[in-house]
Amino acid sequence: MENKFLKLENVSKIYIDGANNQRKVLDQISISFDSGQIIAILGKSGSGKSTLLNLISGIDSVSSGSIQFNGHSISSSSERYLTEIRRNNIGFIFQFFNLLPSLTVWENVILPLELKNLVSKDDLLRAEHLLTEVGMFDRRNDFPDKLSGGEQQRVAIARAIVHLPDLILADEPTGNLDDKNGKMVMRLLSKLVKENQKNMILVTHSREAAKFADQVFSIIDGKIIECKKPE
Amino acid sequence: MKSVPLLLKFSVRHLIRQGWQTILLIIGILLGVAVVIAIDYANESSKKAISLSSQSITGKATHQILASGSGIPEAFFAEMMRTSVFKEASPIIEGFVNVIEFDQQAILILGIDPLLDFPFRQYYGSGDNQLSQLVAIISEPNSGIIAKDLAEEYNLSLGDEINYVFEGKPGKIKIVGLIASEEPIVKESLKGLIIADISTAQTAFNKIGYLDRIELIIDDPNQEKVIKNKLLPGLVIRATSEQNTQLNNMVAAFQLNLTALSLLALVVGGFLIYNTMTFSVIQRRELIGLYRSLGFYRSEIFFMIIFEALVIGIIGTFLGVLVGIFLGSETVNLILQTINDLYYVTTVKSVSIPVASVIKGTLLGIFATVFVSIPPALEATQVTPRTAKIRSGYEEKVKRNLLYLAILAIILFIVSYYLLFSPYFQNLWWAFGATLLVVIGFSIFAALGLFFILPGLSRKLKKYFGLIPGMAARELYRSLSRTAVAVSSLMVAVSVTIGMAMMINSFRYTVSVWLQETLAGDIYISVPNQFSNRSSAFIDEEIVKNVFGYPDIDKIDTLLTINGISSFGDLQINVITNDEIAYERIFTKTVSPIEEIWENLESGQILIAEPLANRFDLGVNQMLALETPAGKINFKIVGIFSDYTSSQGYIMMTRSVFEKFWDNQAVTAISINLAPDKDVNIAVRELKSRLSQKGQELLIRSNQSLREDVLVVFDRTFAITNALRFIATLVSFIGILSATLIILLDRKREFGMLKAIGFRQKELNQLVLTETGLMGFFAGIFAIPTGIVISLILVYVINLRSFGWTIQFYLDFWTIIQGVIIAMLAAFTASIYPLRKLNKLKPIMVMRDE
Repeated sequence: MENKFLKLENVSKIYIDGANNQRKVLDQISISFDSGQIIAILGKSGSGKSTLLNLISGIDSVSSGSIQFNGHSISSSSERYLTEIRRNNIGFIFQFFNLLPSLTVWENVILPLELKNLVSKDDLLRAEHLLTEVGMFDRRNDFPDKLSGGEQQRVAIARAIVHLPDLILADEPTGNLDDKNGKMVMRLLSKLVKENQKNMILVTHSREAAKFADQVFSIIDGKIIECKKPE
Repeated sequence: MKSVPLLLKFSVRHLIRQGWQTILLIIGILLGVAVVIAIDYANESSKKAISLSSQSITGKATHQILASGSGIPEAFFAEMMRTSVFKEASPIIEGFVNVIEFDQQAILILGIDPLLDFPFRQYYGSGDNQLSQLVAIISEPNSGIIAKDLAEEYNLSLGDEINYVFEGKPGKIKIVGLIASEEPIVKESLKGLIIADISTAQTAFNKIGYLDRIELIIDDPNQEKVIKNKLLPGLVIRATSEQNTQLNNMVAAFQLNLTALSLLALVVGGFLIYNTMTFSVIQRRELIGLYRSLGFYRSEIFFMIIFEALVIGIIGTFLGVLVGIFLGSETVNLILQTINDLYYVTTVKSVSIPVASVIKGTLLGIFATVFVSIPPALEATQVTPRTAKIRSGYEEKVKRNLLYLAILAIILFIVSYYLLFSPYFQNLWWAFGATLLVVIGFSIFAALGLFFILPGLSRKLKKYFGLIPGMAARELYRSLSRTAVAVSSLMVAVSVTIGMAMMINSFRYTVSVWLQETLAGDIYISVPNQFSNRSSAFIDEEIVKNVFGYPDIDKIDTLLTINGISSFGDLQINVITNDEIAYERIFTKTVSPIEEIWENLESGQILIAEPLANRFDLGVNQMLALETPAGKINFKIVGIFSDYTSSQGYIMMTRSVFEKFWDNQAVTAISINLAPDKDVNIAVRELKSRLSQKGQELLIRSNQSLREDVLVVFDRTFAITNALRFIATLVSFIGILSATLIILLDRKREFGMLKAIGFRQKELNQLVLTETGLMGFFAGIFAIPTGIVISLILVYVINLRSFGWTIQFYLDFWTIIQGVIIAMLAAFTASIYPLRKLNKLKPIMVMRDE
């Protein structure tokens, strides 16, 4: 039986600017990903790697082609359904962390659980465990604006994993961190993904970050090609 | 400062880019300025109308001789002329009539001696034609001259007859002359006038053998002394300017109150501008930091913000002036209606736009906008390239500053207390200034309240209502620099409306209780006249007799209202027969037990109304000297009673005492108490039919309908105040709309991210509505104590000082609930547009920005 959790078929994305000029960012991409893997997508700024992530999460819509996630079509689903998918099956990690400023570290982490309205004892224990793992348990009552960039990203990682989503989408998770913090975050992220047997698609321009992936792809001129894992 | 043009360009671009925010700011200024100009315009116009009306009456006279209580004997005038004591004098008989052909408009019939009066009035002109027309009124009885414009307006020509009603009795005047003037002011004042021969007026007003006043032109100060010595008892000579001052003083407090209330709208508008300018600085902290890092000086940043304020101030004020002029022209009739109802009959209806009002409003609008923008502009100068990005640092600073602000608020309260209660600050403007300080103090406390309440509330909301309400409260706390300003501004606006409403309701409540206490009769009869709060028109003797002959009467009393002259100035005298009066009045002070008051009154003492006591600073046991035909008589004050019929007040004396000094048996009102078990409505109907053929129109009203009529006048008087209240609410709505727009749209990224991680639209709406709802709720809650304090100041200080009325404070819960509802409704409504925008927001829009 095929073990592909995500399939993209002939996916294209065209942007039209104010002057009605078309710009093809992604061109007929067809690819599928195996379960339980960390996949890195490399590319230069503006190559379309973040766009690919947005299409996979249903935040953006394809111009043509189809995307299947766990057997469900992302490209032809309603906004409501996509919201449910994002809420239950996807965990996000952003370059600028995007923690909610009005919530404490702890509240930010358990937010995805609370959105599901199912906060069991086990869930809370897992949240505590995750916060301990990322080294932020002692700071659980602090607000995001008291944290450094690396600390915020560690909280964001715990938030992305806490509700055990099938897929974690990380958009330049180290893009706003220094080398040392970047490495630490990636090490943590890959460990947690592996431990929890999750899938992760990582979009980055950092070859250092890509080293943690099982499979590495690159987007060049709108096409995706598999490339060698950086040493 | 070479970079100034560049910064100005940034400012203008910013204003254009902000679109709705700028428009709302302009509307806020526009409304504030419009209200101030409208009220000032209406006040100035009504002042001018009074002055024109009195000018048309007094003409070029330098002095007047007036009588206390009854008229001046005509023989006295003849004697003075014969003995040349009077050099230039004109005898006058006058009265307001309602002319049927002029749509029942009140017109003054000025009865004159044409030959003597000719030098007195500007509008006669100098042509022979005018004089010959004047002479025509002597030769033809019941004839008069009217303004040419008026005749043209109503298609009347020479020889036509006009029908009028005077004190309920019909009369006719034939037009024998038309008078015209090119002078706009004279033209306007002529429109309210019919000039008739003195004998025609004497016959029409039933004053044969008497004069109302004598006008004099006196150049020599000694002549005044000579005349004074020759005056009969009960007559006084007074400078015309003094008379006009009395007239203006009469309406001054009323107008001052309106001006102050209109300024409150500007204050609310000021808060709105402060609110928006502060937001605009907070919103641009990063940008300002960038400017600073590019090398702009602090002073240039300050100048940039002030320039923005100046631009919107000028645009808003310009538009406000236009709207204000329009509103003013509409409001002037409302104000004149109140003045006509309560103070003085003005026949002038329209006057030109007072330029001073426009200049005042313009300066005030621009100055207020720039002034309230100084604190945010100073705040902008504190932004450094390093601190610009640390939002939390700024919020911490704001929270730290709250302590200093609390101290400031306490100082403001102490200063305002001193301004309100110190004998050194009795002027009304101090009281209004103190109100403003109190409002600012409370607005600071509102911010402090949020600081202390929100963290705990957030925990409780989360515990009992879930994540989103908790998040909403936490967000309000996190961005206290914005929410506190928005909540305080809305609170100020709502508290002003609560304060004004509570004052009006307290007043209305007091008046209705007072009416219940004082109107003890079942039926009241009087003659309709121009004023709604007093009737000085005499009821025909025959009618009085007829009423006394009506069966089923348990008790009947008469009232005579006349104008008297005291050593302090003019006053109204009410002559009563009601021996139960002491039981039907609420006394603020008396010197004897209630049961002995009538006895004291019969022995020659008097009662005075509270406004009169306050106006002349009179107390019980003091003597009040009145001019009477028997000379100057001192009356001892036995008690002071609450009264709300006028801000001038009056005195009460018994008829037996009055008749000792005055020769006047007339009656101006009758009060009837029916025998038990008699139906009031049937009695009113019977009296109406019984008296309908007696040749005098009468107002025969049951106790209830009289009370209703009084309250109708009351409501009409406060129509403008209510309109101002509405405008303050409108300004507050614009304030919260603009605040909500900024607060919510500025968090687009956060909302987009929430959507990206799976927040449903419903949840986002819940978050936004809880935030705005909480803002509205807190604004409403904090507005309650502020509104109550404002109304307490209005009731116990401002009203008392303005009108001399002691009003019972009435804590009206409905007004309070209404205030909270208004605040919440404003906040909810204000979130509709941002919510619509947020609903359309696609997470991809913010993701792309990343």
